[in-house]
Amino acid sequence: MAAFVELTRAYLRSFLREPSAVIFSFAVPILFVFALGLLFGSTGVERFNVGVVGTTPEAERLAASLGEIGILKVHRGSQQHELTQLRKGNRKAVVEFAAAGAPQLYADPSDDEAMKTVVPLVRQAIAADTESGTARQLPLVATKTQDSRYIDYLVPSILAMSLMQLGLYSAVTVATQRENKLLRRLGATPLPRATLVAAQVAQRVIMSAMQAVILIAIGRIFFSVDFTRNLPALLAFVVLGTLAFTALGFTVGAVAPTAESAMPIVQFIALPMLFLSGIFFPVDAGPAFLQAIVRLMPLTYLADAVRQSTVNAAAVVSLWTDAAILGGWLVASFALSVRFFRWE
Amino acid sequence: MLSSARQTGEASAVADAVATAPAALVRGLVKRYGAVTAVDGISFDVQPGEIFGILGPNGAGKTTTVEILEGLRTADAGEVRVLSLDPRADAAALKQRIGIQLQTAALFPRLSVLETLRLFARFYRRSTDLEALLAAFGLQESRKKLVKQLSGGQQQRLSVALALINQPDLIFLDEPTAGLDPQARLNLWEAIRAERDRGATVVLTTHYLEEAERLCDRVAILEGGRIVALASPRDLIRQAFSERAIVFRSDALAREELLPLPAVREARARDGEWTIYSNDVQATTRALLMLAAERGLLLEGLAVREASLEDVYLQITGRTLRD
Repeated sequence: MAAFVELTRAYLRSFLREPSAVIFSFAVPILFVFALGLLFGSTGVERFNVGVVGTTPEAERLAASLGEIGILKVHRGSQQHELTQLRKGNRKAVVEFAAAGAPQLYADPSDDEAMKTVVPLVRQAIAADTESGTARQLPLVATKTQDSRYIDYLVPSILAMSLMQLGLYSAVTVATQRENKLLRRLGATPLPRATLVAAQVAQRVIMSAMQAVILIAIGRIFFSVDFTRNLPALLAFVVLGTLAFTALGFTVGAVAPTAESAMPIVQFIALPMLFLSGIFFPVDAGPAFLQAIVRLMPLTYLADAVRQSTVNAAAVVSLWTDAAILGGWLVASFALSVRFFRWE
Repeated sequence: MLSSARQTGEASAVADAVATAPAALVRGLVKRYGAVTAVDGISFDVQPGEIFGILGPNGAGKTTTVEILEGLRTADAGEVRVLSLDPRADAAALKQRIGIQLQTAALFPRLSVLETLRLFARFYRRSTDLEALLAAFGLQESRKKLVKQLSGGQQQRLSVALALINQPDLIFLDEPTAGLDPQARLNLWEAIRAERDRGATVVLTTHYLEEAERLCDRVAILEGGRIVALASPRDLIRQAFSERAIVFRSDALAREELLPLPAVREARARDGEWTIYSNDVQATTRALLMLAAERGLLLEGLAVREASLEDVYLQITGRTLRD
């Protein structure tokens, strides 16, 4: 145990005393948060989603006229579906045309974007519909929605991204230690090999926890992102994600012929995930084969899980599915890293 | 009473056997790398409390032999016992009791000297006084320096110091003085002798014949994976040469002219410098000077010296270690 603690400290110190590693792992995600957060944070970059329920001619005319407004995207669906989406934050407003009676407008009065932009547009469109006699002040049915600001999407995604990088970066450490024969020197001591691996994993988990604290603090202080929705789940996924990506990093480190080649291989794995796993923007478009790839990537599920357990953004899949798929990646990577690990 | 007396007797017999058992025992050791036979059936014992040197050119099998004893490599054939243990099967127990310095292994570049020592001390049940260790290796001033900021010689000293951190019974040093300046080398010899005086056994490889001659109680000369000589440096020199060496520089003399001189056993030239081994230095020198006078030659740097281990090495292997 004493050896484990001391060795974990040694790895942590080694990491924290290497400026390039610290900048790459800690500072870059923070820069992303500030850059993208300040650019798009409060506005959001998506078009605003509006739901129109009902099949009356009036509903058809409203859907058509709203669809001509560039910043709106109109969705048609059942009442239940559209209201669920509204509550999840996937709609800014929903208009329901029942077979009889006045149309109903649902929105969250506390949502500035909805109240200042979307609701007035919808009211104008209905008012402009001269064919119907209902064009009056449309009563608002207050519906609590979840926050759907871009920054609320971005910060947890960036946390997931940096967990991936912290984990995958272990590939370089492993390959370097093998190449400069540090592994061989440690192997010449009574230190159990399991302790050697455990200390490096512990180092990664501690760094991930540090990164999580930093990003949560920045999100809260600068962008008032409230991260504390489901702390146990967040903690569990920070650990699970770090383990899965560290195991993947160990596999890369084992397979990489030299320390120098480990970094490009890591990037070859990380970059597609960075752009396709919905870190910066939700990915729900694109050709089917791309969707299939996205659905294989571990980062898709880690980011989904972190978002769900922090700001409860719209779920891609359930937390349990996220956990199962990340667990699958962990087991597979662990088996591969054990199979291919080399001490020299 | 009787049975307990018998047990005591047996226990002391076991203790005697352990005390007199070789620190390392090697029989018919073979190691191949693909088609290359790195170690070709060597046998030797290392006695408890001695400094045992393994000499030989690069590729002779020195490091391979040592690494098999350390348990870092497996032998292809033969028997190896280190402190009466099997280096592979009893690795965990053995590693507690041996100290190892590897030739090229890196440490944590961003840990300080003291942090490195503390880290390695944690790996062992037994530990030595770190302050004394720093002092013995001249590292007190550098204790807070990061390993990567140390000079090559300081890193080498730290690497050797780490091999002593668990007060080992048996210490393996692979070219411990490589890259050290002369003063640091003398200090390191002192530290190694101190370990022996503490009761430890030392196995070291070296390129430096002078080092082996002055430091080692016995040396094995390895060439092509075989032991070509094994004895104390004194005995090796005595066996090979009962005589002393006459050295001088001259380009104008041939071996055929020198060998017939009185009492000459052997004559060798290297880079224009002649070494003549003689049973009777006075007779040989007189004849040599007369020969030079007849031919009108100047014998530059003429001197007489004791034969050294380097001379033995040259005679046995036909080359110098640095060739």
